[in-house]
Amino acid sequence: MAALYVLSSSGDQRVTWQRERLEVRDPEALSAIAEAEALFTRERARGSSAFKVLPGQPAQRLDVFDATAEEIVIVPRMAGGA
Amino acid sequence: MLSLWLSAALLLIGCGALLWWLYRRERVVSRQRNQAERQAQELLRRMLQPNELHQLRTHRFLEVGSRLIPGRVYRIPHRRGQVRVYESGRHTGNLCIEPTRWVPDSDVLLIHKLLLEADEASYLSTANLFKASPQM
Repeated sequence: MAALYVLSSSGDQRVTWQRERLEVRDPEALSAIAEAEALFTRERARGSSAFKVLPGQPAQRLDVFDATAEEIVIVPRMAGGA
Repeated sequence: MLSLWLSAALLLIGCGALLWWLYRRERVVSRQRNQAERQAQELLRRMLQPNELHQLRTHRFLEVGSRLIPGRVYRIPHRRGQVRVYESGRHTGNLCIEPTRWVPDSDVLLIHKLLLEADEASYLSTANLFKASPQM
């Protein structure tokens, strides 16, 4: 099960889909991936950063939505503190 | 005289209602934040490797090695706070950087880890660095 997580004040907003169902053009999976991509685009426009997470490997920054990613985490914009 | 008492009573009732509303609101916000923290902890457990989880539970921090500077390690606290910088095992400074929107403590930790692994240069250019005072 692939997932996109948007970290927020309520914990996280998440969208999940089954990658193997995308290959057979399953409407539910296509709808979920479209929702995930829309969230990705909206959050990136707000200045958030996106990362692809792979088990046992360092995270990778994502500038373009990757439908093949297993897990994507979107984090709010950061600022220097005192 | 009666109107004075009436005004005072109305004022007291108004203040009481305001305090009650503030108390109720604080309880709702607190409950929502506790729930958000539980969800963030669950996500953090999914994202960390068993050895990272062990380090976090044992030492209350998570270490991430630098990919830019050999010998440098970042120590992320389990709750929000400054990230400690170590060079060859020696504490050399603290980095202060925080999300522009409130997120639970466990999410803050995850954000530091992801940024340090995938976008260290940008992280360092955004964070404020406070150098550690030299030890006597």
